[in-house]
Amino acid sequence: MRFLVAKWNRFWFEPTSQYQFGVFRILFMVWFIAADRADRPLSVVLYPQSPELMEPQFPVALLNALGELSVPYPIPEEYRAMVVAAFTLLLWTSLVGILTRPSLALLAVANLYFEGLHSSFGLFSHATSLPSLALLVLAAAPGSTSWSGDGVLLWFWRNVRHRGSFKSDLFRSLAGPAVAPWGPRLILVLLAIVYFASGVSKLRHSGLQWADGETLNYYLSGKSITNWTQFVADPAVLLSQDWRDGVGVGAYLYRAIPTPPGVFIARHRALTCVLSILTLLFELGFPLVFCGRRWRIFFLLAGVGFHTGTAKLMGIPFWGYTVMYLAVIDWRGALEATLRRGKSRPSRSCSKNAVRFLISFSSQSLFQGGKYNSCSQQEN
Amino acid sequence: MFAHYVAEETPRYAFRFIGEGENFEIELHASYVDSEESENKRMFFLYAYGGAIHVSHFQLRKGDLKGAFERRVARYFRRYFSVLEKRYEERLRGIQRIRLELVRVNSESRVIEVRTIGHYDTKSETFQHTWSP
Repeated sequence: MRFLVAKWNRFWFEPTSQYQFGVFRILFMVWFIAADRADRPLSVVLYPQSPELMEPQFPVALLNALGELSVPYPIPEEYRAMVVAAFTLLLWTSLVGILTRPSLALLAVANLYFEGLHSSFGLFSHATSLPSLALLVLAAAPGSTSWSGDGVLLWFWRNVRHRGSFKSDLFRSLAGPAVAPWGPRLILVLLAIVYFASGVSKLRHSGLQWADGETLNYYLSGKSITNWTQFVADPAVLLSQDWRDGVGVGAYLYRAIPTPPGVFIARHRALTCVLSILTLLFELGFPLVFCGRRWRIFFLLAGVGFHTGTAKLMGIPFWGYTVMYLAVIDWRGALEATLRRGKSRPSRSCSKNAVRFLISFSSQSLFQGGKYNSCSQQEN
Repeated sequence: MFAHYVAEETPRYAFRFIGEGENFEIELHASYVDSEESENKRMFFLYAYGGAIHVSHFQLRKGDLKGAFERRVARYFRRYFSVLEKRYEERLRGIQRIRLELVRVNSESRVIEVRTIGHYDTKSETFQHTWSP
């Protein structure tokens, strides 16, 4: 039992500078800002489709029932500019790292409110739900304030004010001390839960039959693009529901916009069958990322392939999920290795250095993840 | 997402709202209420109709009763009709009832069977379920 507790504590709380959560913060914010506005939870609560038809569900329905606490949806026009300005400011201060922790906390809470508000009307956004939770983790976890404007100012203040010179290393100062890694690992747990739940959902609703490739064929062949929303029924409909329509309509089907390569695959049943099996294996097997570095490398690379596939074949981009993978990369190790190599070979061209960085980035982060732990702990 | 099994032969259905006037009928498209078809029908399904599949997470209405079903659908159509009225379009004037149809479509999305589930009366603001096996 003690062994398990020790392992548990080591997994979540043993200080490490392996992940450099601040680098993830920057990349995550760049993605957040660069992503299409339609992807943001904010835009759907500002400009929802036909809001008059929407019916509040829990908890908005409960708050509205209390009268005084009526939740505004959509956000009234006179406040929209102010809300957008405040949200944008928080995005940029979080990216640059000005008052980093409060900025991240406010951004995470505001984003969750907008996401939750939209969901409280029954419309769940699969693409933005996980990034919203990751933002909460980023706001609370140690290490997310590294590589920030605050850090530069602090370094400048310490050197000028107290020493009058710039002897200390800015790079090390920005990277900060080793911290508990529960932030990036919690994001990995969230990813594992979401993928595993997706796999279980397929088995729960369709059983192993889902792997025969027919469902994927339906979406890749473009049959989901029709003038009307299609629904399916369950032959084992509840007898008590039979009176409604006699067939037991039970679920709506989603839509995919297949690309020419997707349509090509749909013509070959063997290919859709293989892809279906691989999808199930990937989703149900993703929790194996916790069984060692090799499994983690394998499933993260498989995840990149999976999301590239859904985007390039079905027109369903979930890039926010792949951005989450950046949380578990050894940024410090990759950067230090690159800098070391750059110093020893100064004649290299920029493009060659960039290629070397990418190679070392993948090799250091994926294969030598824990190498720098002891080094960073010695610093402290 | 995409968890429900769909094959070539899987029966597929769609909902249709038909506006009925004195001497005319008009299919009420989602664009008449400034909505997209998928968003519009999903909302109808979530708020009013409800899923009847054993393991559905689409607002499963376990043990749904006719009265409760009629009230939910009426509530939805009340909102729907109030949006329609605001459009002031000539062709939408004079609608007295909205007929709720469940249509079965084939793999080419052609209608092969129509079931009238019930009618919403715009005056009394009530929905009457009429379909019987």
